Amino acid sequence: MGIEVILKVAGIGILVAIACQLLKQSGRDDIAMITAISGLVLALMMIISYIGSLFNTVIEIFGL
Amino acid sequence: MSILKIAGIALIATTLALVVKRYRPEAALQVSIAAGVLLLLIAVGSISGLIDGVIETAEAYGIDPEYFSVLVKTIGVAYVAQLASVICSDAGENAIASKVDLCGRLAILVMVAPTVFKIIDMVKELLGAAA
Repeated sequence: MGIEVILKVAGIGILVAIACQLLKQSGRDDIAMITAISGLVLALMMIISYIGSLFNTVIEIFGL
Repeated sequence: MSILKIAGIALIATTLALVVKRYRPEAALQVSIAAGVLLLLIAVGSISGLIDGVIETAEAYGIDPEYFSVLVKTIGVAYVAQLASVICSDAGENAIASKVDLCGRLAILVMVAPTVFKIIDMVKELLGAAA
């Protein structure tokens, strides 16, 4: 909860960016792409449970 | 939660999103989604008590709470639809954003329609009683 989720997602983004740059420099473009996609999936999985709790709160408070 | 904390969270999130956007634009979208969801959670949490109070006051004055709940549901739908639509258009997907907007408006229309029909019925009754 709180600012931690944002920091984690941003941290994943920066790590993936650094890893992609390093892999591209050393010529392994395919691994760079796989790293990028897996980083994206990881960030998405972190966010989905967060979005789920937001929607549950909205449904509960607004009575949808 | 105080507005200072909210402003601070928003500024930090924007900075992080910009930093990430230079290298990985798709990851920057995740950062902005997380920030939007967090801020919306804070907003919804801060008005939850207020909504219950408003509904109780309406009941005390004899107003049918069903009409108030329609109003409150409209606000909720508008919140969520705007969150999704603005995030999509920030990412450059204006077509998807406008479709989300359209669906939000249709959802609100569908929710409000029974109330409108009731009003029309009431007007008909009034006219019938008058004539």
